[in-house]
Amino acid sequence: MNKKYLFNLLLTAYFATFLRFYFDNNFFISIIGSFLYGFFVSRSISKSKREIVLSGFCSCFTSFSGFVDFLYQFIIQGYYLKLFLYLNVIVILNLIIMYIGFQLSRKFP
Amino acid sequence: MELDSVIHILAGSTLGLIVRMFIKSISGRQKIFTSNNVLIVNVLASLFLGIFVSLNITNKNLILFFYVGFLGCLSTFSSFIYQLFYLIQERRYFKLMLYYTEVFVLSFSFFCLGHFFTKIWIR
Repeated sequence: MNKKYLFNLLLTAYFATFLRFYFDNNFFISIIGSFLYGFFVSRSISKSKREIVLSGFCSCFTSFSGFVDFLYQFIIQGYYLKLFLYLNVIVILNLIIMYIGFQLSRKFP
Repeated sequence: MELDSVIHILAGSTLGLIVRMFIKSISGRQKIFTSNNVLIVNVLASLFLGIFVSLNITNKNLILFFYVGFLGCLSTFSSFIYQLFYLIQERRYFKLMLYYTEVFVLSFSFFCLGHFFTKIWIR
């Protein structure tokens, strides 16, 4: 792992973290993150650039712990059906958005 | 935003990214991890979140360091969605259902585990 790669990875991660902090909306963040992941995963870019975008930006931008924390609020209130529904709807919606990003990337290489 | 807050977020995200990259490199080389690195980081982050929630931390800088920086950069939602997307592309629907259930059952179990044991520990 060279220094330049590590430096770029860290800078991208910082940018993603501040962007997440600024938006402060888990649902909105996950949608954008999934779209970008789907868009860049099928693009023919170098391995290091792919790592920086996917592992650095998308992974730090979207947060699984934030998602679990969001669902935890339903457990506290005892809304188990709502929890089950939200969990599945969010995952399915993110899958659809990722598919749209994936297809758009293939159409506009 | 104050400089103090920025420093705490930067420190937390650096640590979170390093731990994630470390787990990724270990799970790629050794056989001790049967599951993939995305599952490991997400379950680990859920355990830490459980501990964090039960500690009822009110210190703003600690929240920025641990919750926003560390846990945010350690766990990843988009990579998890991509794994599901990949399994759909490969038409491995049974594996998809199994993996989907595994991630949420393990994540919520470890979250509760962290939450429960920390509550007992502080009492």
